[in-house]
Amino acid sequence: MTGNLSTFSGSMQSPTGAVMVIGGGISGMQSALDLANAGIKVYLVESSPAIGGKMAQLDKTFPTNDCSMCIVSPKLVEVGRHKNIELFTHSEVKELTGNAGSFTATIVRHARYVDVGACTGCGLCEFVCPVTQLSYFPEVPAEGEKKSRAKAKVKRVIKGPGLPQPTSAHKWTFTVDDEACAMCGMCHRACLHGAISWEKKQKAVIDQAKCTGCGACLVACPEKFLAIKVADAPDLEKSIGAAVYARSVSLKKEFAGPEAQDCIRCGLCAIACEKVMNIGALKMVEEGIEAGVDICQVCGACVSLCPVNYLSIDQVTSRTPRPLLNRFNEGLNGRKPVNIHYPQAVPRVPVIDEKSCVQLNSGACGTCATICGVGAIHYDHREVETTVDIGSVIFSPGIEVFDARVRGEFGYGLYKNVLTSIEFERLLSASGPTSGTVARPGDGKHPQKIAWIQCVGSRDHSCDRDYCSSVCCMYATKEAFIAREHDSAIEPTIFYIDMRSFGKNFDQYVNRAKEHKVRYVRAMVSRVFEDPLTGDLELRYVDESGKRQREVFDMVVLSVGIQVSQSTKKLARKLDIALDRYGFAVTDCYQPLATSRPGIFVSGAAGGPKDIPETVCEASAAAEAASASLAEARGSLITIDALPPERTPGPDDELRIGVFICHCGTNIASVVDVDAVTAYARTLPGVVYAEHPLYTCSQDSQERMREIIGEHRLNRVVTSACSPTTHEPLFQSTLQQAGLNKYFFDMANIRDQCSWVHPNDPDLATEKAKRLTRMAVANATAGVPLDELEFAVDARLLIVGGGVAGMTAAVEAARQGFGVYLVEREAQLGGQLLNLQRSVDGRKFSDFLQTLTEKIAADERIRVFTSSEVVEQSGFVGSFQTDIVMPSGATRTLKHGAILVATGAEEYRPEIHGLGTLGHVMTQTDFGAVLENGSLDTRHHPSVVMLQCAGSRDEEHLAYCSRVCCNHAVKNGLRFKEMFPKARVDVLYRDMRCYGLGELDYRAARQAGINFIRFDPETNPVTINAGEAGIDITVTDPSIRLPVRLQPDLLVLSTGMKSRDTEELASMLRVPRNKAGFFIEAHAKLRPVDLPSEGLFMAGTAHGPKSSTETIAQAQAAVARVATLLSKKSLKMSGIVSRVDPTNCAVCLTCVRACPYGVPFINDQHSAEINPALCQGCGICVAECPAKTITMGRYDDRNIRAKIESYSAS
Amino acid sequence: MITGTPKPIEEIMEMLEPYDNIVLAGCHGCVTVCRVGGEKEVQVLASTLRLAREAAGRTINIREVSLERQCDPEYVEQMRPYVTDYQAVLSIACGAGIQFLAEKFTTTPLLPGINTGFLGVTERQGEWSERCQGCGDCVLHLTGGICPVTRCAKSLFHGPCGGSVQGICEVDKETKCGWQLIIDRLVALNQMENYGKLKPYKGWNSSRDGGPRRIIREDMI
Repeated sequence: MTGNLSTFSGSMQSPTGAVMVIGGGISGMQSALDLANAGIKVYLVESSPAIGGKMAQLDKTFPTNDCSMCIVSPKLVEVGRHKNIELFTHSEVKELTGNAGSFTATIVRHARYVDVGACTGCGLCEFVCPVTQLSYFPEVPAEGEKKSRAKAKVKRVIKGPGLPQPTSAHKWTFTVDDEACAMCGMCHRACLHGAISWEKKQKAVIDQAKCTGCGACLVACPEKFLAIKVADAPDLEKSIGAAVYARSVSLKKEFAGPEAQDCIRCGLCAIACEKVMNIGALKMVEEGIEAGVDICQVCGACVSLCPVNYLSIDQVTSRTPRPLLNRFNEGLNGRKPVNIHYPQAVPRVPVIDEKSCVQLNSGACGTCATICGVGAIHYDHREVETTVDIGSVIFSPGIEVFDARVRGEFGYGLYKNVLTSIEFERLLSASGPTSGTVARPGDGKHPQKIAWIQCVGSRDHSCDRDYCSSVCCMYATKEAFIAREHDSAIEPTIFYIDMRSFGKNFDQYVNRAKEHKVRYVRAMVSRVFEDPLTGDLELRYVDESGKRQREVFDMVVLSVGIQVSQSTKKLARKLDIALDRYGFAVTDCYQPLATSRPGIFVSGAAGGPKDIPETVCEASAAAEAASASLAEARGSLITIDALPPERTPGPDDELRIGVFICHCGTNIASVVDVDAVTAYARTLPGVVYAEHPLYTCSQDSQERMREIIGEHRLNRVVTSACSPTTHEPLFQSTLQQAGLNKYFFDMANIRDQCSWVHPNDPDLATEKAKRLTRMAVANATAGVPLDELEFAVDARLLIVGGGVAGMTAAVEAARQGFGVYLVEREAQLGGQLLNLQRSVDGRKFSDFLQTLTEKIAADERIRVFTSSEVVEQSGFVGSFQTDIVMPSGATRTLKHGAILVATGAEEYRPEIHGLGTLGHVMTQTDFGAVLENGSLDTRHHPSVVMLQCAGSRDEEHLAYCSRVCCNHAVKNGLRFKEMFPKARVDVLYRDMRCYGLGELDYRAARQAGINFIRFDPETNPVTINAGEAGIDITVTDPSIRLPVRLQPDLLVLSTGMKSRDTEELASMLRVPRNKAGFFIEAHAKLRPVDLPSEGLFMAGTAHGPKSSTETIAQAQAAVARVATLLSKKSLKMSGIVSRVDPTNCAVCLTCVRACPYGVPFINDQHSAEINPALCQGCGICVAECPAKTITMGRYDDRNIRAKIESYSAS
Repeated sequence: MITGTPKPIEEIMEMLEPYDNIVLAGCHGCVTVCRVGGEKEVQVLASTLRLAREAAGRTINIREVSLERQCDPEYVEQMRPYVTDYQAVLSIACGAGIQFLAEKFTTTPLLPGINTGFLGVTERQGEWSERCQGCGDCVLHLTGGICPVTRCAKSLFHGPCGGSVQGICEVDKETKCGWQLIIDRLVALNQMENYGKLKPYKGWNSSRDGGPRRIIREDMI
């Protein structure tokens, strides 16, 4: 296949400096941000109404249990407000023409019927909309044909337990308009209370004393007369629909209660059916409500408006109701035709569903447009086509989950208490349909025993899902873990084939789950039976001892696999990129991001199953691959984010503080009385403005905050919301956009530290929220503006380590236009790959390394230092200095703006089973070399035993899983079988972790006759006697439950990978490593290639064991992250840095010793000094300084004192 | 550096029992560096005392001050204008500083807020160890830079006692035998001959045995 890298490496003639990213999930967002932050214009196309993708639907994330929404929402907002990312939501790519470097794409924005620019995301339209069902709309009359209203022929009277109890609460006043009255007497006949006097040829008169305000007269008065007038109805000036809604809300408050009540004869159902929906199927009668069940359009308005739950949808119609289901919540609850995708959606703008909206289909209703305060609703919207010029395309449309109905034996779709895992995620989610309560959909009961069934639609040839979905073992573990956190009475059981916890820290997570009473059963469930009376589910399976088992559970969660949707496949055809038989984009193992069409790159699960960090990593990598050839056009199409000049506060300026108390949906508002806190905030000294947005962090709220700052001339802003760690930067940037110094801000955390921890004490929680707010206001009052240091960026990259990661990164960084220093300890570039033989598709690594070496040698931007080592490092992001010792012994100082650590890993060689001493015992790497150099005796067919986890997942050796060994064993096994078809191969394994498409080879290996025998170091250990005379192995094969004796010619050990000795480097760079010696990323999920210190990145096996393909992707990802820094001319540092006042410095060295980053030093003036560019602002030195001569920005004693004094003031 | 450790708060509270109005004096010298008597410790101790007193139902007024050094009269004099307005002075400087204050302010009781330790070095943040006893007659040039007076638990002057077992002192298992260290070092430096150069006896009259000591430097007066 034609690779992108080689086809147009740097030779593009004036490319377009823009990229179209298809798919707005975590992958698309990360690509978009990396591109836009590196000077490339981005068009982000998302088919659903809002970005966020699957990650936004998840509750928590493994293996850290971070809240998915909490970590993704800052990204959503950043994408939403980025000047250089143009969002196309509810849109699709229609066409793509042109070639790499200069494509033209046609994007269709589907009609949203809501103006994205005008909408504030208040959600009122959604509240007001009465429709809950997909209606049966009458057919549109043919041209010229008169539209006539159907008359009911089949009628049903809906009765309650007792007779209607008419109410006059919030009564409207009905009068007869003398001029319009045609004296027909319909109103008189309709009135059930004798309030209308009428005689033939006389106008009707309503006796207000008798009128209960049911509106029967209004409904009965023929349309041609409209003689009944309504008064005293709130919102009637907007529309009758708005008025009906307003009264319904008032009555609902009054008649709130769970039990079924009698009809209160408010008449809202009949009025809505007649006047709003133009159907007229309902009529009030003595015993209750009479429904014309044949003409009902089944819109559900009468049911949703009824204040006392008197009506139900199946009573009013003879047709089958079709409830509208919330797609974001996986159909677990309902929605309206006008609907905001999810509470934190970006853009937080609803879409009107063309299929179910009454106005769009029959012309009736239209209530939402009348109620919208900003006039954002336009029923006349049509789809709009836009063409954009772009240089590259990133294809990251994501995946959907497997349709579990295909596996009928589990009863999904039939049994209500059988759920899919993504549905279970929504059940766990605090913003989900049950607000985080784990309840059975069947009866709302709290389940105790929950079973997870793994591999539903994965590793399953019968439904054409041969691949492993890679994520299910971990997400099932996480769901079981979290379910128990929600309700400790839950007893989770996970039924699985192999536990594929192959990622970094995954095994530890599974072990923790086991400690938390998550039960793992290695068995494939054959069938699920429902007890129709209780809804409980009986599972049948065969246990490890071969016995058939039955076990009853309250709920079953199917761990559904992931698959490519039909629409994605269609789109791929349109884009002319090749897909494999499952629909995953075909890529090359040396160019994991490049699709078959040059200029189009794939990222995320569209290229094969993967988890969030790998997706994020690939997203960055795709951004790099897509922009490398556009480097020349960098910055040509972007707008520089110009901030307004900062207002300089005068010393005598009066305090003008604005306070925003966040609801956080219901997170805060369900416990804390936000109205009361807002009112209280208004009374605080200096506060001139206070309000309580539903989501302060949403884009529209931020826009509003900016406007309010200007409008009310605020000079301090306080938000009482969630955690400053995640959200403070967002609010601060809003301050900057409004011309305020960002340090005139403070934040009180009334969610994590208040509403979440005091759910059962709303009154005290409200008091606490007031106090926290008061403290934040006091602190903001004490705030001072701080300057942010600006300095130039050196556009060169230092790469430490010249293996495949370092080499790939060097080539890519050079293509991006940056200078590169590549430092390698050994005399030759290549690293661990020099010891390996062939790639997954059988190509020789040596050829690949040679190509890379040639590219590096040919590129004048890359300077290579072999046999050299880093000995000293100083400086800070954008301006580092590193000393290296060269082979001559001379030291050379390199100046650069960023550092990439790519020090790699090596094969572990434990002295077990005679490895190193016996010729017929070797590692997988040795075996690969033996296969390659033909040293095997070909006269007979040698027999081979491979031992997996030899020194892995073992506390005495490597405690972790090395991820690659299972695939490595399968690959070597297959190759060996190819050479010696009659040879016997036995693989002794604990769990075959052939994740993703690796499963296909695992299947091929079994088909080729390779024998896989499972062992367990505790319950079924392998006994190996290896000596000069031969090898003797005994183990019990669980599939036949008999002991097996093996005497192979060769014993091949899958020994795993261990980190290289990087202790010195790590302490020099001041970056952390884990126990196993692998570098720790800045964030396990969302910053997989960033190191915690600014300007430092990593790639490859220095981060943890991974394959060469994954390493290449990670190297590209790291370059994308580097590009976001090095593409800038200058950088700004935080204003929150420590400063030493030398006057009082006792030179005691406390700060020097205490600083975790090693920043303070004693200068030649005999005082401690802290370089503000290096200072990370942690504040430890400030707290430790015995002379109290170090201060830090907004954390001065002044601030702390202000807060404490405010706290203790009554 | 002179080291020290904070006194337990209960002990300080007991000392302060008769008083409601005091000065709490820190020092910017050694005690700042070893983190017992600097500006920060003054503030922390003052807050602690106020809280403890309030909890006990009595308030206390504390004036917080940190002198550059409590062992120099010029700095000590800075307190004179107000010291008599207070019932007592609680000093968290070393014993020298506390005594010096007591000497200068004869009518005001002086209370120690720390226990003064020894002349020592910082092993690491939060760990100090003794190096010098100020014997007044230094022989470090003969003992490989390791002081027998300080490092030997018994201040022996001519080699180890019988309690030295495998380099460990019989007095404490955590303590290395000072003489083992000296001999090892002398061997490593190839200076064993220095061992023989030690005086036959040590004159302790320049040490504490001669009573309180004074130094007079004629060249500076």
